[in-house]
Amino acid sequence: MVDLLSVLASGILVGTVYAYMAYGLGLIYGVLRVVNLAHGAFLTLGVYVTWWLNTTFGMDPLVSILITVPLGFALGATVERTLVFRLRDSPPVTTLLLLFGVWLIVRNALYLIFGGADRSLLTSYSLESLAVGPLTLSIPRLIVSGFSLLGFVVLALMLKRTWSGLALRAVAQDREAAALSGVPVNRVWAVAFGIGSALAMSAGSLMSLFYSVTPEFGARFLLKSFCVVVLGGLTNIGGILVAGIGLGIAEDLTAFYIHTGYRDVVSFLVLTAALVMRRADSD
Amino acid sequence: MSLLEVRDLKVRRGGVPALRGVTFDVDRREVVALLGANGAGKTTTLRAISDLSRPESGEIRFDGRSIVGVSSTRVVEAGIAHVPEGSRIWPEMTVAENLRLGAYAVRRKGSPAERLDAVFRLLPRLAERAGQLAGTLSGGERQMAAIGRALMASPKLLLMDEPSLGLSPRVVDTVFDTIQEIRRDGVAVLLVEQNVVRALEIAERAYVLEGGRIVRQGSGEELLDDPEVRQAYLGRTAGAGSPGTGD
Ligand SMILES: Nc1ncnc2c1ncn2[C@@H]1O[C@H](COP(=O)(O)OP(=O)(O)O)[C@@H](O)[C@H]1O
Ligand SMILES: [Mg+2]
Repeated sequence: MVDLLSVLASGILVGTVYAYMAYGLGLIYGVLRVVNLAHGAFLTLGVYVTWWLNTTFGMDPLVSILITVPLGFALGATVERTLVFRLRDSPPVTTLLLLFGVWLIVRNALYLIFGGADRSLLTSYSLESLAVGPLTLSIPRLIVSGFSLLGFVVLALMLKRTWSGLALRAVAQDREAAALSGVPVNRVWAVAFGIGSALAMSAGSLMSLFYSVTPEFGARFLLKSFCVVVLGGLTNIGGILVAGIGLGIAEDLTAFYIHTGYRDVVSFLVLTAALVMRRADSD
Repeated sequence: MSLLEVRDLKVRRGGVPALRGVTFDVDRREVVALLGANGAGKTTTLRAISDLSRPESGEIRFDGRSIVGVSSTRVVEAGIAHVPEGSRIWPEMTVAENLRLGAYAVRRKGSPAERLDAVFRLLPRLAERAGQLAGTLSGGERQMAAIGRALMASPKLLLMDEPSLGLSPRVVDTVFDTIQEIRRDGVAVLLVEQNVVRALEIAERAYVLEGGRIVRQGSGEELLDDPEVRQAYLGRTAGAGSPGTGD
């Protein structure tokens, strides 16, 4: 019983950061109708920037969010302006391949600069834990989960209350109608790509607290991001949160009751099942 | 100088000419009807004004300034709001959010709250539905929301693309009453309608489009009396037994 409870608790904690990590992918698809394969690049860059700031300046990963958020926004908006925007009239596969190219370049640049060795980042609280009743909860996981939820609250308020947020939602739902109300659609596209990338890079900062730092980081978590976004419904914050937590729990149950080695297979199976069911729905 | 001047406008859609040289005017505070069969080019005309379709050649002047190649955003800022065909409200936003965002172009001018009050006074139904997702509205309410959203931009000219399409007769009445009130507030209206009689009854002037060209123009009354217009668009001749005009 205690085993099951702690598996569930840890699944929930990791699931919230999954949701946070995935949200940018859904936002960019919702607003631009572009599958951002460079999402993996931004996740990886976030981890490396955070690790580098930590080893060079001793900066805490949670503080480095103050850098990865604006940096991610600037890089994402630049990728949109210089690459995605120019291809807006070409077939979607062109954009897909281009963004895949961005990811490969980033990944190989990281291999070149830092090598392929797994690195990890240690803070004073990395190994701390908190006893809650019969459960022992990891402090970094609690913190990261809290930051993810906070990020969602900020994002939800932005989408609900600000002009930019309303404009983003309007462009996602009907681009021409948004243009007819004076929304500058081109700028909204850049902002959406910027926010999506800022979310991915800052997710990297958070996740550096308990995943190893490697150029393959993005590959590992891009698939999980797809899984969460497809299950949760692209731009639906609530749905994505539930899907992230669902995946987190499913993974931890698998790892605990079947085998740790199967953890990363779960998202693949769930994604396949979800896509097959979608297909069946639409037939 | 008219408020809106369109001169020899040519627009291609999907590579095929949709407008082949269209010329017309809308004066200040005037309701002008743009009529024509399906595919005549009415929607394309409105889209060209709002920069959703780029003209091949020709001129569009608003308030004396050319707006060809001026972005949709700047067109709204200049004072032209557009109620698109099929209302096109944002279904997953509330009615209040739809209306608020309608004021995007003028968000730094005047008071959006006052404009919202004015829209609610004109369309009280929207006030009742304010918190509801726009996707849950009935067809008539959607059209009202689209009209309200366009009015939130404080336009001098309102483009309306078939606002009564698919609505029940009672709701059609409300739509036409609303257009009258909008005119009373000093806003000019360029009205595209299938409901030819109703449109000609409230319009000062009207133009008839056919195959991308203006084939007829005149005052609303003149066109209502025109036998060819009656034959083509009202499905009856002006011969014996036909009802009189202005009923
Ligand atoms: N999206 C489109 N792509 C290509 N051609 C179009 C498109 N929309 C309309 N057209 C063509 O442009 C012409 C004018 O259409 P439109 O302006 O929609 O007419 P109306 O509004 O008077 O019914 C028609 O011949 C129509 O087939
Ligand atoms: Mg039309």
